[in-house]
Amino acid sequence: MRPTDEIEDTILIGRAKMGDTAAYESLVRRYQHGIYRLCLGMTGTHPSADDLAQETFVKAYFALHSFKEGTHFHAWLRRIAVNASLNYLKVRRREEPLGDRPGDYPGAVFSSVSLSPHEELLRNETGRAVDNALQALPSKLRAVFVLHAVESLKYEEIARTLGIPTGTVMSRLNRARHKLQRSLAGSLGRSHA
Amino acid sequence: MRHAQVRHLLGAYYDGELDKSRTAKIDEHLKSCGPCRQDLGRLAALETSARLSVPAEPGEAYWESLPSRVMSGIGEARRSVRSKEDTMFQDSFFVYDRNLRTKAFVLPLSIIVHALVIIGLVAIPLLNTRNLPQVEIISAFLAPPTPAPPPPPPPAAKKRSSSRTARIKPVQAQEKFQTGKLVAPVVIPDQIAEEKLSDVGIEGGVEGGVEGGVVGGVLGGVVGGILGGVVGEVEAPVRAVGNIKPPKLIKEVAPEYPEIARQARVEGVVIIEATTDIYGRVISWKVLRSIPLLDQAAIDAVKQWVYEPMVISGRPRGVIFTVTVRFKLK
Repeated sequence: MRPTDEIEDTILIGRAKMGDTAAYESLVRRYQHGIYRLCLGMTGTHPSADDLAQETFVKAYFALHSFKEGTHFHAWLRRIAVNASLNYLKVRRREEPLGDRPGDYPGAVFSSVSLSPHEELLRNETGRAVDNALQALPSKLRAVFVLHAVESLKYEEIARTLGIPTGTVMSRLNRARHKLQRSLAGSLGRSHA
Repeated sequence: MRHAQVRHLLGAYYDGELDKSRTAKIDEHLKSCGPCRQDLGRLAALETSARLSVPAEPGEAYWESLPSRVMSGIGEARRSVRSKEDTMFQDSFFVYDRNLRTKAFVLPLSIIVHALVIIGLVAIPLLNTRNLPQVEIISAFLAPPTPAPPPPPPPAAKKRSSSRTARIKPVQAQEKFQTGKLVAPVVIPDQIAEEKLSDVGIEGGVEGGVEGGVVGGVLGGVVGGILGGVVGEVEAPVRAVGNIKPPKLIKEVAPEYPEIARQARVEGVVIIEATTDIYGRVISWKVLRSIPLLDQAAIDAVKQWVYEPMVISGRPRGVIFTVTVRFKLK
């Protein structure tokens, strides 16, 4: 993030705190991609990611007074999003309706990302397998893996977002990778072949 | 660096999270270790497939709509909070106080006040034992007394017809006469009595005298008696032992049961050694068997009692005898 962005953020947050909804809307516009992507990585489906992204921003708006100035706003949002996602996953595990699995919503809202037909095919195939493997991961491991793989965060940032030590991030990431490798052994082998 | 360590750090190595020295060591290890190189390859494959697996993002229309939906969500959340409050409290006159600072101050204060009140209620009586009703403490010290033997039955009332002289019993009857010492006769020999009758009789009689004498009259007594008797002639009271029976009670005042003893449920027998004067009034007393709570009540009663005067050898005498006062709760 450029320093000017941070200054802009500070100004926008200050105005939003004063009750300026337009300022908050531009903050949402600025961070919606990242937060949506994170929620999507965590839950695997568009509807839930959409809900969670909205929920994250609404929660953040009402918690804006507790945001400490000078800290990283995106990291703060991420933390809210991860917590909301973990809560959502906990509830979903308890009352999981049949059929609500990733891939059941072959996005009407998704525009095709620029991929070659071969890549597209590969994406669909491995994507489904990876999604399934991710869903099978314990939510704590999934949070670490998603923040690392989707958000490309450094260990330290992940640690800050989740409020855990860096060493824990490393060991969780290792465990997540081993589990994924084990459950993807077949499909990964094929994609490499 | 050992193989296990390297395997543990391989993920961080792949992510470029290790410091230079560790990275160099792992580089070194990888050159010689085939399995680790394979692991590294698998890590790369996983990373690629993970990135590929991320579903395509929604289009521009979605990003345009999300902020406005968020804002309407915020508005809705606000409205729902407000409408809940409105409907819930619309009929209430109570104005909800949002002043959290006051609340934060009042709650601990009220806890402290409650604690102080409780401590006051518990601790002050513990510290201040003097004001406690003594009854309970006394009752704790008093074991229930063993039931005292019933007092000896009062001496059978003698018939009215029996003369006073009948009650006169020689006190020193058993004492031996000492030769050469003058001793007042205490027994009236029968045969002398006849002589006396002839001797005592006064020719012409005595003024105020009764012909034939008075039945039950007192030997040596003066007709009409002597008022107040003679000072200094009152002899020491006799002890009611042996033949001398305790005098008959003429006036009895019932003892008053002390309230504190009643509350403490103290009962029992108080034995008092009473001394009467020549008129049968109780003049002194001594507690022989004491029940602390009941003594005073017994004494107060006995003080007022009046006995039949004891006359020994024609002289009124005080008597020392024991009185048993029984206190019993109903």
